[in-house]
Amino acid sequence: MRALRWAGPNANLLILLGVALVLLWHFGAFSPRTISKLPNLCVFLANAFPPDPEPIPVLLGSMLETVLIALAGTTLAVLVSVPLASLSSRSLFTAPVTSFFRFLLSVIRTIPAILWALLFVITVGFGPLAGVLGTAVYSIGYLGKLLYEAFDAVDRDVLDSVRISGAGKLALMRYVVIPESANYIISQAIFMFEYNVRASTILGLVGAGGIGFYILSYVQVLDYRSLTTALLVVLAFVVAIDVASSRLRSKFLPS
Amino acid sequence: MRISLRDVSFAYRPGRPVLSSVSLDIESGEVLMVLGRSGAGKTTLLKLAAGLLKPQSGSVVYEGLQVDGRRSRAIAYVPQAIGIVENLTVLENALLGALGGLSLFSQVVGSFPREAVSRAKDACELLGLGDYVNVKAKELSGGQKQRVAIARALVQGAKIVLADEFVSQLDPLTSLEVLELTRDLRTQGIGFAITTHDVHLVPKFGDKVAVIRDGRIALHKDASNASVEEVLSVF
Ligand SMILES: Nc1ncnc2c1ncn2[C@@H]1O[C@H](COP(=O)(O)OP(=O)(O)O)[C@@H](O)[C@H]1O
Ligand SMILES: [Mg+2]
Repeated sequence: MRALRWAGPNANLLILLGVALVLLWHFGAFSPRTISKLPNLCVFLANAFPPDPEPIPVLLGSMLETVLIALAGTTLAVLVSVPLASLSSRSLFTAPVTSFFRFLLSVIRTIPAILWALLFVITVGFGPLAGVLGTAVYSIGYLGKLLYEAFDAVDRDVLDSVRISGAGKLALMRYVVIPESANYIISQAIFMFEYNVRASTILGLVGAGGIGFYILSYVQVLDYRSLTTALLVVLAFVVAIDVASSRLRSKFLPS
Repeated sequence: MRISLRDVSFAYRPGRPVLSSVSLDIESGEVLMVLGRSGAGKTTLLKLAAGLLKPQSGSVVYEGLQVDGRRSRAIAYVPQAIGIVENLTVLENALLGALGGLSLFSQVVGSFPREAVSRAKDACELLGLGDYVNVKAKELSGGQKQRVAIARALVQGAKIVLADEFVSQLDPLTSLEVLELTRDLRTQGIGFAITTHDVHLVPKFGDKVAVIRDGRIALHKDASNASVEEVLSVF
């Protein structure tokens, strides 16, 4: 009995380990070619330190651009996702309408932010605008879902009694649904911004603005010391924003 | 003005009727106390009267409460959980009663006519909320929230207020105060249907009493003729 009980987790762990090893082997982790390249890692690390201070001003400026892309994209997303979430919420609308907008939001979510950015690079050209739009669209899919779930949870009785007093759907949204979920909306918007700052650092890879452009360039010209500097700048900003964001969010979440 | 339930039957699930062929009038200018054990169907009855639920058979008729073939805003519904918006102020909550009279545009931009604002302020004043107009509803006590709900009904110009378990969550003294208010408002032509399971409130505050039992109206008469013993005997 005892032995059997212990067999469970151990067996699972062994299976997991086995699967991981097989997959690593499948992707060539144990091939002689890979192993022969292991010293490269040491060469890379040796070349990556100490970080080069020279590009710091440029990097700070482009990191700021990344943050602004995230801010603009998130703001745009909040403005659009509140109405979309209202149209998706069962508190205000019924099946055909809510199903359509829920489906729309889930379709938007299936495409990652970087692909949306690529799409906008193609349509509006290189630069931060593509990054803003890509970030916004992806965030709409994500925030829209979080918000309609919050809107669904608004007290039915409050909605019913205000509806009976003569309020239309728009008024219900403005005076009941949004005030009752305001703190949640703010807290999720801040969370989304925090997430988007991290996500936007790679937008430069597809030419959609921000620090990602420099990261890509340093990799291409093998300037690993500047790369380290860039990564440290990203790290500093992300950590600072994470801390500020969680402080701010705790103010808006129910105590 | 009157809400008439005529032979109303209702079931949430087929084969399990909550109300069977119930007929009952709720009139403006009087207080109807609706009694019954918990689960008897009091809330269901109020929701049917409010038009929030549709009867499976029978009808709910609004007499003198229809304007242009539509039910007017003459009915206010105060659910058991009071139904005010916690994150709005007392005055804003009272003003919600005026929404129905506004154009869509004014509703959305929140521009209430000065007349509505002064009506809302008066209602707050009347209900003893004068010092709280700018306080968020969530910071109020239970009795104060109840008053906010009445203030909204007044601003709405409601002729009949359907109030579910209106005083059940209040301490005895506060519930007496709130009920006395409803009795005063009755003289302004406003009617109340109040559900409760407290039999002792009937003689003091009710004009009529109705007891629901086993899905039917087991007793329905003038409160002055109904003794507590009589009500209890069918409870
Ligand atoms: N939404 C619902 N779905 C299914 N059954 C319900 C629902 N609401 C109430 N009921 C049932 O209907 C009966 C009457 O409920 P209710 O009208 O709330 O009674 P009361 O208000 O007198 O306590 C109860 O048996 C209750 O379980
Ligand atoms: Mg009830």
